[in-house]
Amino acid sequence: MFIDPHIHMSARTTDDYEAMAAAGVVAVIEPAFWVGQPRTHVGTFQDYFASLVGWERHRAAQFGIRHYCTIGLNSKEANDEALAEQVLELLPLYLNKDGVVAVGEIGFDDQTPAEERFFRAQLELAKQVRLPVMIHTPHRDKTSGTLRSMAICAEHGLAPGQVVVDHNNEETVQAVLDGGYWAAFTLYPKTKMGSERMVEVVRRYGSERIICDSSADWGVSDPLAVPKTARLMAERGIPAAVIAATCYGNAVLAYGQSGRFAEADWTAPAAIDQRRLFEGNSVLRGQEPVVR
Amino acid sequence: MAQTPAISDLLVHGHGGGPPLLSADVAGWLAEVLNAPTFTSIAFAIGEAARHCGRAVVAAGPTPAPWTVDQLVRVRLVQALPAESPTIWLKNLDRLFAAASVEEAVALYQGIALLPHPELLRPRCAAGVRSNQGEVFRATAVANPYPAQWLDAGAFNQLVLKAIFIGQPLAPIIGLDRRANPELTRMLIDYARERRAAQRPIPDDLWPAARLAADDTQRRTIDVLQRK
Repeated sequence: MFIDPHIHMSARTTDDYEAMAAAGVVAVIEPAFWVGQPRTHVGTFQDYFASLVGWERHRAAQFGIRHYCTIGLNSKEANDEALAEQVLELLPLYLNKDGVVAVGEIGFDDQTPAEERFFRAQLELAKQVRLPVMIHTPHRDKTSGTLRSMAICAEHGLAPGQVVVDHNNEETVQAVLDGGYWAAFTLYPKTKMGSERMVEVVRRYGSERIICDSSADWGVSDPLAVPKTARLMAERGIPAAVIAATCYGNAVLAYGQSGRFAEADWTAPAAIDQRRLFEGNSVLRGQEPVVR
Repeated sequence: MAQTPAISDLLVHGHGGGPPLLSADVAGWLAEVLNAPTFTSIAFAIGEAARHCGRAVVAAGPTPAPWTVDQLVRVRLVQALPAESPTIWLKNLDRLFAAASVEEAVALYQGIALLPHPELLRPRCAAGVRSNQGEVFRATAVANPYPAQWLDAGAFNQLVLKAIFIGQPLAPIIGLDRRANPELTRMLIDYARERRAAQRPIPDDLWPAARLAADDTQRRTIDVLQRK
């Protein structure tokens, strides 16, 4: 069993869902992020959030995959301050829902004052609704942006164990682990971390508080990155317990703190859930719904 | 149709002398929210309802649908939305529906017959029928007294046709016998012909539904089609 705790399924096809289910992915977390181009109306944010708790959750269930999400205003779009203010007002309407397991992904992109303002406001929201936080660390000036993100979390009194710092690399991982935070790694075919490098990271740092994800989205990315990396780890002699922790168990521990993300959701769904899980065949066009 | 007291009574007193559906703690939480409800406090409580009360199946709910405790609580919360101004009420209700998760949407649509101002909810009901999330469609269309009571013939016919199209048995649709009409019969006959042409099976319960309001010509057509 694998979990991909960071993947933008809205941008993926049903082929991806099928391949992921076949590869053993049982649950995914889809963080609210930008969609490749800036939104210009608060209503498009609202419909996006609605699809994360509604349609995408339903769509994933058709393939036997449990879909969860994080809700937040991403750093890139925080720079449109007038719009960002309206989005901030929208967030409480979604943050308390069952499928929402963290506030995120939030943090820095260009590290502007506007980004910092909305990052801080959302950390306060996370405390209010007692949710973990998923931090997006910047692509540019990454190490300093990562350190700054953690310092701001500390200033707002968030427990490091409540915060997942994502998109780490070899330069940032030590500081993140030393701070007591969860260190997530995005396994991208070309940029960020590759599977080969990930094997070396777990060899060096072990499995404690380390999480693998694909962050697959509308760009060149791989929705099977987690199972593929797990396979490579096994081939390279990484112990099974380390693979299980980094590709499954740690995500349950980190996001389970929300009280809305539990192993039993997919290993022992309640009868009422089983009834719902595969219902509705609207994404199936003439095929028989798969019921396992 | 019994309104607010039905759900409150069920939650507090249980069903037929059974135990209350809510523990004292959860009943206290709900009472606190209902004491001074605002749009935000209701939206927030709908989100966390199941984390308080669980999802146990209810022996007998306020409509023939299969109700769970969290669904009852969520509908009870929606009932508490301030409704003095129907325009503002409808706007707020639409916001709750628009932001609903799948599970919440199922509860809300299942409970539309239990809300104030049912005469304003025809477009909402039609939206539930149009949903391509099967469970949302079923919550709206099946074992729900609202459509037969309030939808116009066109919208009701779409509901029946969609049900048969997605393989939903027609028997649990409330009021089908009462609302059947020759136009519905024509649509069902057309659908049966389409299935024939594509060499696909025709659901058994299409025929009795098509006959409900068939005129003489339609009845003969059905006889011929059914014999093939």
